[in-house]
Amino acid sequence: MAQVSLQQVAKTYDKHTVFSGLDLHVRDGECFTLLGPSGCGKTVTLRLIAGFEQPTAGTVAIGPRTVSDPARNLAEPPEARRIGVVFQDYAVWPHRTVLENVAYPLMIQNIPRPELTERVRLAIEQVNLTGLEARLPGQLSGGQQQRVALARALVSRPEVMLLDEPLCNLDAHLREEMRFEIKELQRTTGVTILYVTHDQEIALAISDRLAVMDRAGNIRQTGTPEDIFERPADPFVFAFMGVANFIPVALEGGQAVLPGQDRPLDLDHGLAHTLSTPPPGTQFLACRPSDLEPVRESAQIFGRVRRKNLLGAEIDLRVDLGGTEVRVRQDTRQALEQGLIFEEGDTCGLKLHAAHWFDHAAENGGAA
Amino acid sequence: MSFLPDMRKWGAAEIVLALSILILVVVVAVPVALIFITAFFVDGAFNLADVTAILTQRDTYEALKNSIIIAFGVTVISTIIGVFFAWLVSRTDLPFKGTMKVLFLLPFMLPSFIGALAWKMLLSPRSGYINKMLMGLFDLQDPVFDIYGYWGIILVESMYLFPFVFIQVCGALERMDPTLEESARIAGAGLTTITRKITIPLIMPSILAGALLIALYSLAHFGVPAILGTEAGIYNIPTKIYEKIHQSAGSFKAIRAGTVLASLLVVSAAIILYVQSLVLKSGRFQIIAGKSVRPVALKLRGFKIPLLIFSAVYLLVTVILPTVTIFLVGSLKTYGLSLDWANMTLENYEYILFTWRLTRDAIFNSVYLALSAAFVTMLAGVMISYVIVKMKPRGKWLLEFLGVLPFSLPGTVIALGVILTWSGRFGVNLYNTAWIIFVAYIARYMAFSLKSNSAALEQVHDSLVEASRACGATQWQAMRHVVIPLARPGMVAAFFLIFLPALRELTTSVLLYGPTTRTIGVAIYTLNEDGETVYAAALASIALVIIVLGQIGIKKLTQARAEGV
Amino acid sequence: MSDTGHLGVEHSGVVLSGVTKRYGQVTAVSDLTLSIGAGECFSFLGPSGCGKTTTLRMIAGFEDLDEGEITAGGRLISSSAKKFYLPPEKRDFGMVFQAFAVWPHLSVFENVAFPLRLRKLSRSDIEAKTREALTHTGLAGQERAFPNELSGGEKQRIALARALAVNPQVMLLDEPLSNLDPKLREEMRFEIKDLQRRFGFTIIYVTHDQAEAMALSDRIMVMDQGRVRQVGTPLDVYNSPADAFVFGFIGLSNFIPARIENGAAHAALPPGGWDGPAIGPLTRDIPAGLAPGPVTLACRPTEIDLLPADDPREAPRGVVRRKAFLGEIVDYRVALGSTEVRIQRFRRDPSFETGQAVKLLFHRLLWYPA
Repeated sequence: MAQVSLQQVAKTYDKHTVFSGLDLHVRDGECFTLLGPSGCGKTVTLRLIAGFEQPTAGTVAIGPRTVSDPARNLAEPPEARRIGVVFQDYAVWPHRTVLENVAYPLMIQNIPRPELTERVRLAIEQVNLTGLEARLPGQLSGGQQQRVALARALVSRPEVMLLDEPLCNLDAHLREEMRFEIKELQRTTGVTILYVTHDQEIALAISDRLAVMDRAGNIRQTGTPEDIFERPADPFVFAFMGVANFIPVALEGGQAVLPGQDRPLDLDHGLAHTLSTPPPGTQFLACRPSDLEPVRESAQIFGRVRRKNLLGAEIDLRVDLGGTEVRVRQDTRQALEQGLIFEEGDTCGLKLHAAHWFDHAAENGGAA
Repeated sequence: MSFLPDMRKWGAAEIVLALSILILVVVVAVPVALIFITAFFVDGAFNLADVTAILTQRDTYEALKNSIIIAFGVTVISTIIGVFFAWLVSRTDLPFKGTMKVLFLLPFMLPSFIGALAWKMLLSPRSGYINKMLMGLFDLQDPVFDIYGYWGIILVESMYLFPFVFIQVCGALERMDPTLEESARIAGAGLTTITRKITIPLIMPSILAGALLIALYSLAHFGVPAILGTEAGIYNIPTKIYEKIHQSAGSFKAIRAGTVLASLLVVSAAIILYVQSLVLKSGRFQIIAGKSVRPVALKLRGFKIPLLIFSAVYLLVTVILPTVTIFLVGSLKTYGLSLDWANMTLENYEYILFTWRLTRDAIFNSVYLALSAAFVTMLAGVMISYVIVKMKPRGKWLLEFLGVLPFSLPGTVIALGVILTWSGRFGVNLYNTAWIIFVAYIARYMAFSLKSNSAALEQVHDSLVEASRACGATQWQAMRHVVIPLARPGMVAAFFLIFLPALRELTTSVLLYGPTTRTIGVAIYTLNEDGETVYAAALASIALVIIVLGQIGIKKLTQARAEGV
Repeated sequence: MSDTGHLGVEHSGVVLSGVTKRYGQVTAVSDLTLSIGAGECFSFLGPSGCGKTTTLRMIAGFEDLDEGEITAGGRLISSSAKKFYLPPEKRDFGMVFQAFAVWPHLSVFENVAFPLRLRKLSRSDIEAKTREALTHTGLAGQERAFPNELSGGEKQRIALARALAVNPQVMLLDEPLSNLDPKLREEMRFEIKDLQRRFGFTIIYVTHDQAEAMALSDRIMVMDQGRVRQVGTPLDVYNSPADAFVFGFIGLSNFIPARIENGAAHAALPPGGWDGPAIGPLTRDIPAGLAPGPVTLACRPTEIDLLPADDPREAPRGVVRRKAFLGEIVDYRVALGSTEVRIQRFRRDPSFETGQAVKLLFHRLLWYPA
């Protein structure tokens, strides 16, 4: 298996610069996700590694081999890179059966017949398609087609697998199922995976590490899912990883005062852990809807319920804090058990479980 | 080190690109350019005086006027017929409307000049069978109908051209989101209001698109006016060009007059296409929805049976009657005999199929030319489409433009351009050989090939090719294993889209044929001109049989393909 | 349902009685009796093909009935027995369709003014009412635009404004938000609710999205295969689903096969597994009337706590099979005997790893016949 590294890579189309000076290092055998909004250049990155595009500057290396280096006029073609690629639109060949699709990479390599048969059988088994070998892709569901694509990418035992939003055309249930399966395949084969997506939930669920890219093609943060989610480097990352509240903060003697509150925020009252204090220059308190828990007693923040939506297992509350609307996520079961069902117009006390202090809000609304 | 980039610049891709441009320039651009150059330049100098002289000749502007009158009449009548029947089969509870829809498309298959021939046999003032029958029946002195004239030309052309509108409007009515009409009902509108305020405005772009296509076609149509107009001294531009060139046996003066007339046609076609693009741009409404609830069919109630009978009679008169007439007349011992069993013989067929050199040559030429033109145009089309769709070079708009240009160019214009290009001007003289018709067919049908092949290649997403590269395939292997197999249906379609119309082609070949290079269309036309009506009809019958067999063949082939996947 | 007894009595809402619709052999809607109150926001919820759209189209007047009748505001509008069907254009309803159905050849203003022009109002009335409807739907200033210059959300606003313009008593909405992106969907949901508050019309809302139905409705009818499964408030439907179908349709669910023996429930476990009664704090007792034998236990992924295996409380044991960190929540699949149970915990709750033995504390179990 192999690591993948991009050093000081730049990509320019005519006058449009996708990114410049991109550094990315995927470790041997890890599942690494490149996460970012659409148009941020994440797919271009994947295509540079695959060899479908050539960088304008910088080097791309797979394992010990440098595969792209425009300075030395080096550009190894895709077929020589020993990679597997899975595309968003599956890209299974409609005129070939499942078996023929999966066997193709081995045929190209002139693998002897008995070995080929055995490896194809194994790959088809790994993706749970045994019994469907003779079908044409048109006779398969979207999920099954994507499995064919996975098997085809796996069968030649590539050093690196590149997955370009492979799950975004599938329905929610199937997406979940395939997510587990990809993770499982990686565990059994040990292949290095680079996964590209705009869906933060998949990125969190599947990755050993992930990098968050912004629209300008800059990597904002690299780390484990917990790192990124719990310790976001900046408001963009915070907003991109889920529904985000940005509450404006006034600092008074080092204490944070939230809108509509008559006292500064009590940061260590009645909580299991103490929240960090706002550093100088803080403008915003950022938190998730589930970080704000409606409580009957020992509330730190008070607001008025503007909207209440029962969505099933959760209740979505919009609470007004002196003109700022915050989203609060309440667990339906706990709300019913505790008799804490609010109606629109009620006053509501909130307990704050986590807080990030930022000197600016996210440039845009983020992911949700 | 230094020649490496150069090598890359002249790889396979660049050669294919250069070849594509070369083909289109030679086959399309040069002939078209030569028409304008010949029309407007004399001895290398711009010369407008001659042009004005030609244009102010009486027969020239008469021809222009006739072209416009005929095109206008045909467009109006075809559009009314097309919209009415489209509405009938897609929005009402007319019985057998599925079958009806197929039957209304039949006139598309039949060559209109054969139809004109049949109507001449039925309605010509002196010898038309219907006229003779009516005169005998009611003891009249004068014929009731006279097919030779504006009305005859307009009605016969309309019978064969209305499917252009019919298809467009059927498609629009069937794909239109029914909730667009339902929401008008909920808003309080009754059926007539909905038809007037919602349905018709929404399908108007489709109606106009079809109507303009008809106008374009009719303006440059040769067959029907040649058969039904010449007799009455009515010439349109294509028949005038033919007459000028034919009478002078291809003298340069005649050709030059022809190019001036052809320029008129090109300008009119350009105007029509421009208007069409305006209509489509302003009115390409998004009226198609995902949810497919069938709209409630309008109940015809008491009108159901009368309208069914009306449709059946229409089909009987416009499709069955002329076809049967052609076969019957083709079997007569002598033209003019009554259509009695006793006057019938199969000898005519035997004679033209096996004995007469002229007709045997014509059948052979047509089949041979259609096959080879279809094959070559298909191959060239695949290559050029590949360049346009997949390689996306910088100047691809030029390729696209040159490829579809002949589609809007009348067959007469192409023929003239080909004469100018291949009569020794560039050292190659193909005049009076089959090659010149072959070259003209390639130019004329390139657009069909490009359309069909581009559509097929668009379906081959880049990721399918990239997937094969990632699997270890080289560029050439990816092409062989993925692109070509997937493009094959488009190639087959292109082949037949060219083969069938080429088989019955008249407009272009009538200007290009030589003593031994008649095509079926030309042979039928000249036989009719020479008064050999019975042999013309017999050859036309054979042409119809070949066309119908060809259509059935395509259907079988495409069905087998559809079931195979 | 309590107020179906009012049939025949003057009822200002929409009343369906014994409505049946068949397409050939298929019964699309079967003997549906329902009364929707004036000013109520009522949703038809169910999977595709359950008959919800057919029912709405019968109320709109686009489909005839095979049996039964429908009244609106006390006025008979459809009756199979009397062969009477008031045409859709005479019912004075507003309707919004999934594919927007705004007329592309008319400007925003003309789209909205269309129903008013048909009612032969004065020019100034048309102008005023159109502007009012456009203002309420946030389209003021867009009067001259054409639909294809606007976004999906704006197109749906035109459709709303057009339906609103004639001030209808009843508004029929056929999956109006399912062509919009999630963020916009949420926003439009609020706007529809606000419009209803302001104008007081009755809403009949067709959707397959349970969260949408719950967020919007006063009452929900859950349908399946042409039959009503449950009618109730969102909380009713979520908290006391009438049957396993409703339970499964409203939110994520686990179904655990079990048996009742000697007055105790035993989860169907392999030999050697834990087979004591499954008890959580909310449901200690097996509901009366459930005969011994196989049953299905239903529970929500959020209503199960995970405890360490050495927790002293008596609870079923399982093994964590899969764990996915999804941000605010952590999603577990825990093997409980031969079934896999899905459990969702908040990220601040104690965390367990794949392969770890755990105990499952069910807070609430519902019991359905197997």
